[in-house]
Amino acid sequence: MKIATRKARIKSWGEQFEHPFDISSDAIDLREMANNYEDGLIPVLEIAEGIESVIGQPLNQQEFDPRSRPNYLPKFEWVPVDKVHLDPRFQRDVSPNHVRKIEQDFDARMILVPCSVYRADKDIWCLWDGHHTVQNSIRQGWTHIPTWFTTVEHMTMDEIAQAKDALSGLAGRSFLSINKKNKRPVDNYDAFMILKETEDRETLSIMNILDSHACQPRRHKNKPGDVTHFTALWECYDMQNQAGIKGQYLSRALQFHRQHWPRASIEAEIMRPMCRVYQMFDIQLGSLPSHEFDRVLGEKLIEMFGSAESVQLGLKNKYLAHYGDTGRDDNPSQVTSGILNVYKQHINEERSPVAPIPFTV
Amino acid sequence: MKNTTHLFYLMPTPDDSDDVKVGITRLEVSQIRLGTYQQALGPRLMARWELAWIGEQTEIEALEREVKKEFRKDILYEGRGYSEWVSGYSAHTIKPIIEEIIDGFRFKVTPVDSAMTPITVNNLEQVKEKYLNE
Repeated sequence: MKIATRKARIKSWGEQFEHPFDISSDAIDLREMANNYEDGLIPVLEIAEGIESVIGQPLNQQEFDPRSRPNYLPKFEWVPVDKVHLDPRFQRDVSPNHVRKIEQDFDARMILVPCSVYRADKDIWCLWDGHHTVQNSIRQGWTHIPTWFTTVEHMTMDEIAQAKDALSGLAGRSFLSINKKNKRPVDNYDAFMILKETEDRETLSIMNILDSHACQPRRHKNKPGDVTHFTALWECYDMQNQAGIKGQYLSRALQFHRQHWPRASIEAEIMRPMCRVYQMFDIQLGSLPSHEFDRVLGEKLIEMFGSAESVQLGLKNKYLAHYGDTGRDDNPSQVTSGILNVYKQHINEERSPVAPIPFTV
Repeated sequence: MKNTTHLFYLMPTPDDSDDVKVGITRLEVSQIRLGTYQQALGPRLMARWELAWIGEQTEIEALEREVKKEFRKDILYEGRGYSEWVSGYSAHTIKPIIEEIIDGFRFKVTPVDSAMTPITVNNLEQVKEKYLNE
């Protein structure tokens, strides 16, 4: 019998916390984990234990002070700007537009320290990361820039000649490592949560809408009301009603979803098409549909297809059955029309917009 | 065209201990799966699907996914042959929770007629006949 060692490890680590949180290989929910600490601040060593429970023990299990090893770590230095160079072999082209973008938000407290390789043969520092930051520092008037740098000490001239390539290789690998291989992109969930925690006005407005319908932003669908599709969420929020107010259709669509599928996470392809349906009512007919419209429509969709996921899949299948491979409409458009077609063909109790794409449902 | 009707079943352990297997099968070919279980048990024990629900593939697959999610902490072992066994429940004690899941997600699934449960190799053909022709 195969004992679930990994699963048991994760379970055992998670059980020591009073407030539960999700632990999986692609994310440990730190926002929820933080609820286990009075001040909401999590010691990184405890996060390290969590990571170990998921991926196992580290390759190196002996503790040591990295500062005690010569040439193990990069060094830190404030370098005169005229000593900073760029070797295009291991840096991207510079983007003036990107420099301007950073400049608009420049805040010296928030820069990431650029990284470089020190060329002892020329007494210069060659950047492999942070070139745009350096350009902004220059535009701010800085005479020196901070840098983490690596170097090769005590070499002969022959070795230095060879080392140029070695250093370039090191810099190139460093650049690729930080920018391609090991960079974890900020996904839409992280971006949303950062905006929320930094009290971005529109994000807080979305949060109010989510809260009022017992919905919550999450990385993965897990619990009732979990919202995981942030592109759709923003798109829905940004739809303005006739008075130019954002969020009204989103609120109604979430209410519709929660009312009919109370245990389900939010299906983006129900939320977004319902927002479009409400917008069509508002713009074409001058007002939103009645709540009775929502009730009978939801019941009919459940009767025909069942779960929220099956509703959107079922409507897309009906579209496919009608148009076959010649259909070129995107998924939200298919489902939006599918919903209006269901109402028209099976209910038709109140005046409703005509589906832009007609098909039998 | 392939019939996509699926069956979600709850199978007890042969010794009726407090573990239950949650699984799905395409109804049209379900005799292969149940036959395999029967083959493994031998002639003196009866493989049985104590309770079962019928529905379209997408609904049954989603039901299985949500049930496994709900009982994630009660599935104690991983790997082929182990990952579908929920510990601490029998088919009948887990049933109300599964019904709550079905209701909360509005899964369009039908419980197999109690006159036909448990499903065994002896009555599976009747179940197929009833639900494949509906």
